[in-house]
Amino acid sequence: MNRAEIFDKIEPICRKIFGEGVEFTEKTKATDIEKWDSMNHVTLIAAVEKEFAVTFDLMEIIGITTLGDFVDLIEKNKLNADH
Amino acid sequence: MNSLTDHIRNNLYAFYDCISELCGINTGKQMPWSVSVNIPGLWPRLIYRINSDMLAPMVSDNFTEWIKTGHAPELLIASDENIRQTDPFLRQQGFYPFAAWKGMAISNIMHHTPTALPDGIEIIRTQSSSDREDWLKIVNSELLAPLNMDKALLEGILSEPAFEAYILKNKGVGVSTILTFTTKDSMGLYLLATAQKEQKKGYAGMLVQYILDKYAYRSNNPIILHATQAGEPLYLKLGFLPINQFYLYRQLKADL
Repeated sequence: MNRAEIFDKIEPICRKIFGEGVEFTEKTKATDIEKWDSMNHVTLIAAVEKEFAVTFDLMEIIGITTLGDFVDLIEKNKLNADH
Repeated sequence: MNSLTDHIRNNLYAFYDCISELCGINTGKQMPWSVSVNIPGLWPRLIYRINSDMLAPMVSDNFTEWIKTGHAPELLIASDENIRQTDPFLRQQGFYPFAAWKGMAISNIMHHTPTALPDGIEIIRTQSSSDREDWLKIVNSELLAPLNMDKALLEGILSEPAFEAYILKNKGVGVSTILTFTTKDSMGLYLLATAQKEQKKGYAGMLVQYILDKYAYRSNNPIILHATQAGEPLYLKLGFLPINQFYLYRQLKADL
């Protein structure tokens, strides 16, 4: 799965949580979206973990600031799982 | 002798305990965790003092039961002590980490040289009613706690000798605040806030420096504070060192 394919799976999750009418890109960060508060942040983390069947490490979660960071983490997790 | 890590934790926990008691809240100190509910100006439904004691079988069962019976807190603060073990436990309970802050400390400040304040700047201990109103206005508008701190709570806090509130004024107008909390072996700095239009002008740094200068004459105990990533560079510049880390958790409410 490449970055674009990973992001294509993350985007609908974002729409569910943050609603329509917002453009989501890998560069989108919490301050860009009004509804991206701490509650929705943990909802997003849990939903992405579930979608990709991964569990992020504590320090990985703390480091998340953009949607692209989720893509990085999925890539890293998938890479680790393959080895 | 306590380590700096102990000082940071102990000061924070004592700070919450003290304010919770002022609010008439039973913090549940008999438990290995403590709970505060609806502290205006701070956090609503907060659990703190989360550490490895939590993992003892009886304690973890008790906590799980407590959460199941509708006592879920909005926020939970876990120290980094054995966080690799407590994190999976908290996640099993439906709590997810979302942010972290660093506990920082400065010690051996006895030989500090006081710094002169620029023209027009004064820092005063808030005693008058109008200064306290200005102090509250800045704290409530900038710290974004879900509930505002009211005047009665501030009066209660400042009636305790452990607390002192300071305000920095530029040409007579309040721009920056801080609350100090002194225990027998450390001083904690809390509620450091600067009015939005006055930010990035160095006022917070001046205020912290003023406290360092003042405290250096009183004690050689360490001064501790809690820094977000954004605040860390300023505190490093002032001589604070990062010592430990705290993690903030929220309970997952919606399962997509």
